[in-house]
Order: sequence, then structure tokens, then C-alpha cells
Amino acid sequence: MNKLKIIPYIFIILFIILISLSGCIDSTTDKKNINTGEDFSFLGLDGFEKNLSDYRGQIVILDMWATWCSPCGYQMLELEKVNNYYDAEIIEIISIDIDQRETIAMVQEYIDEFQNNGINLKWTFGMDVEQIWEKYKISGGIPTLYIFDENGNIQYSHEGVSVFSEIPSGWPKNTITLKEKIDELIS
Amino acid sequence: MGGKINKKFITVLIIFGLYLTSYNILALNASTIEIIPEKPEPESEIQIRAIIDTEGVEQAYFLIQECDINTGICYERQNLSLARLDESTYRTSYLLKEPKATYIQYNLLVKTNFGWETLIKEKKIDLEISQNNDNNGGNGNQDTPGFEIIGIFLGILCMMMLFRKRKR
Repeated sequence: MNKLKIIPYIFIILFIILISLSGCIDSTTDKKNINTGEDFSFLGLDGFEKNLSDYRGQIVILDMWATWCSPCGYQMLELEKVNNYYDAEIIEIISIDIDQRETIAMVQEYIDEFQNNGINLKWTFGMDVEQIWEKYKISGGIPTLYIFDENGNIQYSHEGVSVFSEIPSGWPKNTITLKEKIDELIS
Repeated sequence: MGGKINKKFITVLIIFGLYLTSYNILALNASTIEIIPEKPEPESEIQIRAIIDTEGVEQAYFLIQECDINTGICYERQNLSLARLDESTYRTSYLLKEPKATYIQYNLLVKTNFGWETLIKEKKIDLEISQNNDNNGGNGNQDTPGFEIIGIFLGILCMMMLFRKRKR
């Protein structure tokens, strides 16, 4: 009989635990795969092929985008802040246009448009020729960012816009800040 | 003398007004896109009807991408070929794929003897987000809708059991 009396209390405790857990479930789209990123090749805007492994010893930010993607334009502004803040010897940003229907001329025109507005996208741009997108896409959305450490290991991946350090007002509080991730890797 | 000048002035004004009106009508009719329904829901089918007045159109394409404003994600752009119905009317349909999309963005392109021409560029349409689709709760991604309901349900069950025991 006494045992039966305990049952409702067990239910109450379970209820409290469930309520607490519901707020703790990680619902972001981030993936932190601690593994070696497969090497990939891309076509630079100069027409020469380059590889991820060419940048060993540097932290590499792989930014997958396309000219028609408006959030990718915002991502470029945030990457410009990263590029301006860190030493070029420490970090290399590689922005790869994943839409194989687009051309080097279209990418160049895109960069020039930013330049005309006083924003210099002074990092490596390239075209996906060897299906980087197939290897590295998360759920199929862009922008998608990956951060590789000096040894080429994937340390971070995220689908959607990430900001440099300050989350603009009105944005979700769980918006990813790149500075925090990069500083972790540098230290 | 003054009356003649006034008449001339009014005539010029009327002609100018007519010119502006006709110009606006022409400009509006140049190329238009009609999306049915006007405010589609995610994962629903849309009908696309284009009126293209450009001469010598060989092919017409409707480029569409679905995006999520909450996360800043756009999904792969689709190039849809438009079927010609008559001299200037083109049509196609498309099934929106992304459950989390909040808006669509489209371009209208035509291929003529002179090459490719963009007639409508990067036009946005907000999607109709029903309560069931909006599981963001204004707090970014929350992919666990309904999870709390289990807890509440169990809680009610416990309370009921407690009251029953006390009555006995």
C-alpha cells in the first residue's frame, strides 16, 4: 500500500525532469565533427586549381555560397570583418561558389559590386569543380561555413549566417559568433 | 491674349499627362509575373504565369530559390523553363520543397537573338506561415515542438491520481 502512495510522487519528479530537459535540448544546426576534412580542389578565379591541403598550417574558413543567395551577401560582410581582424598568416578564407551554372565572370562581377560600395572582399574565391558541395553540404542550404584547424581537421560547421562577434539586435540570441570559435582554435 | 496662352498651357499639360499615363501603362505591361496563390505556403504548389512583351523570345526561364529569414539560409536555386501559351503568355508550376522557408525570391530571364536578358530581378514574396509551420517561437531553431506537451500531460495525470487517492 505504501509503495502505491509513492507512484504519484515518482510521476511528479519525472514531470519536473521532463520540463527541465525540454529547455536543454540542443536545437541548433551546428555540427562539430572532430575528424579530418577530406581534401578538396577548387578552381581559383585566376583559372588555377587549388587544394585545401595547400593551406595546412593556417586556420581555414570554407564559405559555400552563390551569387543569387541574398543571405550570402550578408555573410560576406561578416567575413570581411574576420579578414580585417586576423592576420592573413593565421587565417585563410576560401569562398566557393557552389552553383556550377555560375561562372568566374559572374563571381568577379559580384566582388566588383562590393568593391564599388567600398567593401573589399580580399580573400580567396573559387568555383566548385570537384563537388565540394556534395562532400560538405549539411542540409542543402547556403551560406554554409566550415572551419578547419591548422592540420585540416574540421572543427566547426554551420548552415546559415554566422556573425563575426556582435549579434545584431533582433537576431536570434543563439546566432553563431565566429570570433569565439576562431579564438578557441588560436589559443 | 492671356486666354490663348492659358489654353495652350492646358493643352500641353494634358498631352504631357497623357504621355506619362501611356508610358506607365507600357512600363507595367513590359513583363509581369503572376504567382498563384499570391501568398503561398511552404511545401505547396504554385502556378507561375508570365506576360513577356519582349520580341524574339526563344526561351523563358523562371529562377526560384526558397529561403529562411530566421536562419539566413537559402536553398538551391531552381531554373524552371516556362511553357509558351500564346504570343506573350508563359506558364509553369512548381512545388515548393522547403518546410522552413519563409520567403521565395525569383528572377525572370529570357533568351533572345541578342542573348540572355533579365526582365525581373530578385523579387521577393513572403510565404504564408501557418502556426503549425512556425515552430521557431521567435528564438531561432526549436526542433522539438510538442515535447513539453508530454510533460504537461504526465503532470495532469499525476494530479488526477493524487486527487483520487485523497478522495478514497
